[in-house]
Amino acid sequence: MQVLSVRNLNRRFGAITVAQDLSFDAAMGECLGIIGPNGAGKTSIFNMLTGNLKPQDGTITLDGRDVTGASPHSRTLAGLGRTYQVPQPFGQLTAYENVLAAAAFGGKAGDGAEARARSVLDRTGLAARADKPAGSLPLLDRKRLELARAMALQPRLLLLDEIAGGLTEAEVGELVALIRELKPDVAMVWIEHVTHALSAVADRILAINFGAEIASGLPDAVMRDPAVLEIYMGAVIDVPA
Amino acid sequence: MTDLRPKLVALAAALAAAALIAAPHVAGEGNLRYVVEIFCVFAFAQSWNFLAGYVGLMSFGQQLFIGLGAYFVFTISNTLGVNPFLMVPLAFVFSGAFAALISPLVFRLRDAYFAISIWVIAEIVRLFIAQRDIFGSVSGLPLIATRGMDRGLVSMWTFYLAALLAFLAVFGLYYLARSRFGLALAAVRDNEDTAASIGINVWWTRFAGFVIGCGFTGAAGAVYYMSVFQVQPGGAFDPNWMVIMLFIVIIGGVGTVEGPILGTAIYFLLRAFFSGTGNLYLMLLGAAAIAVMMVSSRGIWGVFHDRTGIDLFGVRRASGMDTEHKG
Repeated sequence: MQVLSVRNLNRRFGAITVAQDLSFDAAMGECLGIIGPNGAGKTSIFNMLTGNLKPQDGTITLDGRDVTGASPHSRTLAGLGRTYQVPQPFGQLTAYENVLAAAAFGGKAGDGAEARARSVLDRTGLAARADKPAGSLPLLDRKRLELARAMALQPRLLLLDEIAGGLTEAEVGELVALIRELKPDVAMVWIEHVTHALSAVADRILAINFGAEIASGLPDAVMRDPAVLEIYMGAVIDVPA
Repeated sequence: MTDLRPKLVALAAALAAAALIAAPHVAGEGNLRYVVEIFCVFAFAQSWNFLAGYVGLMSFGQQLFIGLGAYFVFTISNTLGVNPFLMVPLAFVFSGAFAALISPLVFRLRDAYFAISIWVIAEIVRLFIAQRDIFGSVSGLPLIATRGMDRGLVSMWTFYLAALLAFLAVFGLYYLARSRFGLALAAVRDNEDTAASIGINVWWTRFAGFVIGCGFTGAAGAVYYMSVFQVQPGGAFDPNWMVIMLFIVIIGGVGTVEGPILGTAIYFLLRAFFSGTGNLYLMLLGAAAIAVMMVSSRGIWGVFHDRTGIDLFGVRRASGMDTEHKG
């Protein structure tokens, strides 16, 4: 069942194109990865999905409902959850309160919000620091908190923005294990630079450059695509099969 | 684990209510009048603290609502001959409605521009009132409606209204901050993009906070000027009110219930001892505020809280989880 459908998305900033006729989908239980070099338009695409940037053309459908013009908070109520590339917690509130706020206001009815917040903190390994101010947590915990806050919304569509960036190998491994656990109950769109993390979870990958699709399909196939290799390595190299 | 604090605060609220109800029967009239002034100034400061520390809106023009509340009660009760004490809740509604009306305009502005825009509106309203005869122009209005009433009763009801404001400014703020709405306000204050991303309507949340805070300032303004039986545009819309609110909140600690209680006590103590010294007194207030800010941006209560961990009206929602340290 398709949760997210994007059709012919277009967005230009003057001479710079950040989305050119992009179409993609994500179904329940499926993870779509989006890769591309810096400046390829990943963040802008993300912002159009969340409602922080208006596309000039095209439609975004969430669970059969056209949300192209909807505000960020109404998309959340329609079933969207997101994380920020640079963690954006409620700094003066504790980790627990951050997650509680999401559980209380996002989509589902507020009852049981406390229990849901506690269970999400447990799952994300934040239980021990639940009562610490979110602004004082180290990077890994703030990344976990981004995921915890999004999980507390019980979203139908989860958007991950470079959540593995800036973490050590071991930390990435932990995060990937958690994301895999979540995957069956959500449609996922994950924008990531750390491609091995992405390949471990994504069912399909969409590679973009200058806002346009250059390759899409199974992760292995996309990672071996000459156009993708050229962008990432600067040249087509012979990859042994 | 159950959180005991709400129960303790409820107990404190009951005790405070009993003490306030008994006060006019044991205290002299002169003392009562002084307490009314303290309560009103505390209510002004706490309403600004609510806006700046809980809603995240920094206004430099809250004297606007002091004046609006006062003029509303004086004008309506004088013209219609209504009991002014009954008009105080309507002063809340009127000031809140005025805040609601200017919101679409001032919410387009950010930070310093927002802060100053309300000051500008306060000046416009002051000039408007000072030029209208029905508002008594520059010399203002006396409170006619209380003249036929029993003096003792008037002073008792004035005290009760001021006491109610002070009570709400402590316990009302505490319960509001702990409520679901309080959580939405805190989220919007800390990070509006993230707040929107968890489904909070940022504009309406901020709007509701602004209306409540300004309405409260208006009700307090009405009670303050009722207690002195007259209102003038120069006094009611005086930017000095704003200076006093800032002083109390900054020195006591913004974003806490306790800070402005402490700040109000310090303000009235300084005034009692040094107000005879003229300009020196104002310089002293300024120096005290600067000294506190240099030590801590979160005021005296902030420093005290960090050192001791004491948090009388803390609004932290405890997770009840097995954590490393209690934070």
